[in-house]
Amino acid sequence: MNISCFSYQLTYASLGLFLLLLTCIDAAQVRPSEAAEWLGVSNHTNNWAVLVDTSRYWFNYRHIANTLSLYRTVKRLGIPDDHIILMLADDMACNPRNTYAAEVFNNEDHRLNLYGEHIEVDYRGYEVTVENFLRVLTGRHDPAVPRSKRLLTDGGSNVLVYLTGHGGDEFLKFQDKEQVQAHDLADALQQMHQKQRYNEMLIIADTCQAFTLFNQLYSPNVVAIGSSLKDESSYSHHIDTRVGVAVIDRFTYELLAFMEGLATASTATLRALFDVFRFESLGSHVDKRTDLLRRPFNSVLVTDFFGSVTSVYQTEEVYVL
Amino acid sequence: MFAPPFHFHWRLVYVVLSAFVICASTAHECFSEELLVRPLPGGKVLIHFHFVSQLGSGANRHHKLFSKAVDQLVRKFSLQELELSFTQGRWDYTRWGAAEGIAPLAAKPPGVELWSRLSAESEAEADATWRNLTHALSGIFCASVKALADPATKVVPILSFQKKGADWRTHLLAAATRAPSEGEKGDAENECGGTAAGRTLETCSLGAGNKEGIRLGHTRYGALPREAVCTENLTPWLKLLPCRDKAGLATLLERRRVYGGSYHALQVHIWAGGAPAADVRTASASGSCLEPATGAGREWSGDRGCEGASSGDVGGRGDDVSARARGGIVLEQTLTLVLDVGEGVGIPNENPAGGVGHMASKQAVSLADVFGRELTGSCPLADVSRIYTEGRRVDYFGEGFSGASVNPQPKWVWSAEGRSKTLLEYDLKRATLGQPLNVSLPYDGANQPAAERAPFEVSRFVTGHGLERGGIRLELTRLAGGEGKTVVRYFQLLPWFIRVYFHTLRLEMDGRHVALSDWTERASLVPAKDRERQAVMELELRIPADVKRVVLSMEFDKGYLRIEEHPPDGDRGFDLPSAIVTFPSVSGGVAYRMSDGDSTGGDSRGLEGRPLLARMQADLPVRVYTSGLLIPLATPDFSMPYNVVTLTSTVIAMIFSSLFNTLLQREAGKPAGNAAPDDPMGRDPIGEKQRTRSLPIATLWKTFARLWNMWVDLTVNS
Repeated sequence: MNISCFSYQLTYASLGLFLLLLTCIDAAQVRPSEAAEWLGVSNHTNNWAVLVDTSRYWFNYRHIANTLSLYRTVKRLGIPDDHIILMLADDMACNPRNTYAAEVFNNEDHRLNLYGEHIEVDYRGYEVTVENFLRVLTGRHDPAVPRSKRLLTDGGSNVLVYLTGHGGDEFLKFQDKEQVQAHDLADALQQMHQKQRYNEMLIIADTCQAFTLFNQLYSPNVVAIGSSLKDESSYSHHIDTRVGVAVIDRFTYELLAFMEGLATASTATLRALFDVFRFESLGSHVDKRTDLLRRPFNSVLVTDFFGSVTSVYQTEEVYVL
Repeated sequence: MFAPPFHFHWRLVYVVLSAFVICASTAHECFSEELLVRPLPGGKVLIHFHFVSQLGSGANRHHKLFSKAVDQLVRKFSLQELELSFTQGRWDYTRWGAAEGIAPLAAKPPGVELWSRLSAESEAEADATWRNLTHALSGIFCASVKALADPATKVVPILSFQKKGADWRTHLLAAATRAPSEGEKGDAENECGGTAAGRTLETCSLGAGNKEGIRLGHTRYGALPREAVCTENLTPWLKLLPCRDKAGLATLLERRRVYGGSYHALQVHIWAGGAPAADVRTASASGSCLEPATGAGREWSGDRGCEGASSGDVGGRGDDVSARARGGIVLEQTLTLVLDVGEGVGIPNENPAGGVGHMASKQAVSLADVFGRELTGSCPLADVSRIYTEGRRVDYFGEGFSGASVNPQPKWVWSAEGRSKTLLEYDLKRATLGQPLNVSLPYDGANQPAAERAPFEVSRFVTGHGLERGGIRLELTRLAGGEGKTVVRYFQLLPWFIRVYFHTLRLEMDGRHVALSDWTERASLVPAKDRERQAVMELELRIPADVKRVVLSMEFDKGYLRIEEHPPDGDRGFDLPSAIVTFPSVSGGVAYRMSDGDSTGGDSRGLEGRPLLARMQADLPVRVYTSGLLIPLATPDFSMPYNVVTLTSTVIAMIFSSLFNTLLQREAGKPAGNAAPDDPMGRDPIGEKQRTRSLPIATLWKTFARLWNMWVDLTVNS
């Protein structure tokens, strides 16, 4: 009797506690982000991409092709041009050495013209500098800089950053003149985090010793994938004898091959993408950094970063301007 | 029972209403698309796309056709006129002409050229506007135009790029007539004041007062000879067209053909109604700047504050001011291509012997052949959609031409006055629907009429060798047909690191050295300032009729750049923009008269509704752009700073650490703790050690203190 009474009391108490908890939760208005993190679902509201090729000169054709491969992919999966900041350090498509005017290929079969009919390049030539790159990330521009050259992200943006060029231990060269250090990158990302300029970020680097570029990262919700470990080179894929140079790097080649099979509604995860990269085909070890991510890596969809979502959250109150 | 008439009645109202809306909107906004095809010698064809969008005066900010980006650009930067070109390849002035119809429109220097006339009260304001304008254009056209924002690249042309009196816009589309304002009639030839009479070399500046500066505008010029031009520039350019490349003539623009040709020039030319800001500015100068003007200007001045209230887009104070302030905008977009058709359709190249007819084959070149795409129709939003093909009269009406494969049939024939050339006009709006549209022109490789050239052939090159000094030489060689006394205007930009000695300017005529001042009508020489301003050289030379060859030469020293001022490919050399040689005494216009055609369509026989013909008839200045110059400068070993830093750090580290070791390290093999009991002398080994250690530190400290005192003495005394 007593026991049962006690158990009844306990039940009532627990029910009360539960209700109280519910009220608390309601009062505190749990942000969808937290719930989503807990569930392993991304809660971003928009997608942005920063695609950077840092090397110039004709023999670095493959780096332009790398970047354009990503450009093609994100555009195909729904990120509009005004959400893509494309930085190309040289002009390959209309380069006098290019016998295929206005075309850039990633494969010697020439089936895919990466340059396309409607490309928009935001920073090109001499404008591709470390300063401009960090300004784009942190959003600290001269007031005259037009909107199309700014990364206008917010706290709900998932940002994809892709870097390719020539790198080394904890640095990436820009145009053979200056370099961005792993510390610079880490601090820029922290600044972005403090300014709520991203929700989650995926950084991919296809350079030699690419993974060392992420050693210093410390901002939350950042995933990083590098094409090679320290003391490893990233290799080019193949030479197109008609173009005359290597047309793409192995890492990006595999990446694009994987991406070409995806549709906008794909549920493929980053894990599936990561498993594509094998040492046998790349000659280098691809590694990832997931310790900063709050949700499990296995639950992150590829389209969380490469596609464009239009999830809408309702606000119940009037938004005060 | 009554329902059908009722519905019908409402439907009628809708029809009437929508018709009214369409009429009202087309009265303010017009768009025309035109295409000119001209055969060139050497198996080449010139194709000139010409799109004109017009926003009538008094239009509000809601547009149907006109590009919003351009409207905002004009409003924000108080533009009076702007011309921007992206060019790749070199225009061949001797074979493709310089002085007739299309050539002055099509010939541009390689890279980017931008010039504009801005309304501003002061030079400083104009500079600020120019800076912001270059940033905005960079954003719109995916280009590095903002490199011109650097004050070291600022150029204020005095003699060149000024207004001409005649205005081709009076011939524009009849649907959107606009009253020309007085500002356009102003001839800037007089702006230089007293220098016109004098023959001495002197620097003249605009020096216009506030009001004049607004009325005539401040001219700024910039050129980037090394700018790449590719698809990313075409994409935003197409976005300014109402139909983009989805319909109409722009569908032909197959990227591989466009960029695979010998030459292409993508241009944007904007005129804003007269001097829009002048009267508003002066009107608002007396009142409060922030006070919004009446009418629709309220929200504009609200969000842009002082600048918005005074930049001419506010509603009027009085009808006249209002009309002027909301003056119309004309946006002209052109794309000129020179494409090779020789290989594709089996036309042999130009016979090197010249004029021997048996090598030439007569062929018809069709648009579909040239672009590999078929035209499906005109842009539905265009008021005018026409194609012109040019050729000799005999080609069209001789035996070689067959109109069978052509849709639509040519409607009009235009003849150029005093020339053997003929234009056939095709109206795409009258094409037979359901069939692919195509026009073709007879191409006779060897029998092309000679291009109308400028009076002189112009070439400019660098002289000298080495990395220390050099020279620039301009050569003008008189061409056949260019006889007579000629006035030549020379415009040249020199970056500050090309330190020209103006006293070394030498003028030679037919090999004889002559005094420059004797033959200079007017001159403007702005010397450079290191890292602040580039040198601008403008000379107007009178060349007597009997002189065949003129050489202008000058010498310069090469400056040294700091390591961070070099571009990443600094070893390649530095590009100097093209110089411009203008022939003001030569007329570049071609007058076309309708000579034949079908007059049943009710078309006017004049140039109304044919902006391209009107443009070719306009008295355009005949300009020849020289090729750019590539000047190698002394470049440092770019890895040197790294080497120096590494080496120096190593040396310092070695010296310092060995010194530090010597002074501070304990002696090895003498453990301090164990030595004490064994010491027969009973000395305290630790105290000994401390003494030996403290002695050098004291000495070191004294030395530092002495050095410090010396340094303080030196700095204080000096």
